[in-house]
Amino acid sequence: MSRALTLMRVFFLRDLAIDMSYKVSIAIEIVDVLIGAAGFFYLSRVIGDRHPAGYDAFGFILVGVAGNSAMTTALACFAQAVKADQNAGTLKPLLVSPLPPGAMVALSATYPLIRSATSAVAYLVAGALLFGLTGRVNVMASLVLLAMALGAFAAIGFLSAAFTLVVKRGDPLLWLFGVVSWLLGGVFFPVETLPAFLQQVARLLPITYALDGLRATLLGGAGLAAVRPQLIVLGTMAAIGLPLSAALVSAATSYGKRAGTLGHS
Amino acid sequence: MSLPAISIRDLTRTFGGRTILRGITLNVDRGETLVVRGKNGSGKTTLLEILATLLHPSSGTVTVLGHDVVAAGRAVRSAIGYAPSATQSFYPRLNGRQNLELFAAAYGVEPSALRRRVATLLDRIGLAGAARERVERYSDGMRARLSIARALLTDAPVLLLDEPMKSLDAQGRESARELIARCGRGSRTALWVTHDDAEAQSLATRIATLEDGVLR
Repeated sequence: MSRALTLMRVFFLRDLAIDMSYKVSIAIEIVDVLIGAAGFFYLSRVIGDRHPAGYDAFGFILVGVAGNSAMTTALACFAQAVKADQNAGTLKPLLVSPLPPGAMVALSATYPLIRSATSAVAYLVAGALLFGLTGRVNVMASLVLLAMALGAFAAIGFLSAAFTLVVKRGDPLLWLFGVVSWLLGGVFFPVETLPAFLQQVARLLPITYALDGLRATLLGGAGLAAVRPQLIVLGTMAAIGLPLSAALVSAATSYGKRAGTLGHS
Repeated sequence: MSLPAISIRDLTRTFGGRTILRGITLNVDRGETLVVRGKNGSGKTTLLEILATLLHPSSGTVTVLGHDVVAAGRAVRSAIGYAPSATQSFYPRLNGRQNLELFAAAYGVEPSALRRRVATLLDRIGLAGAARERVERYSDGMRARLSIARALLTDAPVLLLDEPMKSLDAQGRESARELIARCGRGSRTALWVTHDDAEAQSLATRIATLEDGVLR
């Protein structure tokens, strides 16, 4: 097994083992998904026969919620990983490794990102099996789009890890970004229902493109060619944002070494 | 003449307005075990963290095997094994084996040798029987032994040990001493800090004393 795969495996198994050590963690997540799917099903019945953006209302909301859930995890997991290592006292022993700090933070996000993608899929499966959600799913296009979307979200989450390394607290800008994305990104209602100037703001948010694309591939059966515009925007955001954010994590680590605050929690 | 394993020139480190290390100059030759003794707060851990690239010097130069700790931090990290002073430096909900496997992968142990290396070290430090127990159930002494094992994972040529035996009983100290000696006899350089004079006398090929940030 190559070194990179071994690293991903041990970091993934670390977080899986920690997660599994809390016996009710998975059970709570399953209950959360089931109750969430049921709630959104009955909410969609209030909406009636309207078809937001041309989709069935239940499917529209469920994809929105699943995408938002994946985004929230991707935004928060990097900073949470840094904070957890600060609290456990494991940050310094990890930083003594030859791994670049950016790689160490990225590896720590392997498990949460996979778990959040699984959770998003669980929402859709619960919707289909229990509440009659129907749609034409293009699996390949959906997976590619989800990967691109997670890359774009992760670029912003990485920035938050740099912030946490410096100030030891959660990033208020990240919270604001999450709330604005939830409100303007088309999670519960189409972006087109917003005033024109807010639609312009929505076009700056990765979740807008992620949900546009995911609804098309998961509910409308669209292929890769049909969601190329969304893939290009999300891919560009990830390609620019990830290296920039990794560089900022390195800069934040250097700052911590000068200031002597790396191990503080 | 070969380069010293560790070279420190006029090192000063301040935090805010407080000077912790003042103008330290020191060479440690290859194969030497230098024990730096000093009271709590004398600057021992700060010195070790600078060598481990966890802190930058405020002024002065520090090299390990010829690599500058600031400009070539990655090369330095590849050359060191480090045991920090805190016993809380493992994932408490993972077992001893899982902890060591994670750090072994991060420190660059070959994937094919990783499990064998971890099993060997756990056996040598007397934790083979507790390898599958969560670290949160380990005593301070067991954690200290695990920390020594972590420092030895890569056969690094330079060991930096921050009071690694302070939580060990007499028997544990003896086996830790033997383990470290056996793993690097003759070739490995060790910089060991302690506040225990007897420990310093029993370990060192040379002893230095740090007092209020000044080396004597």
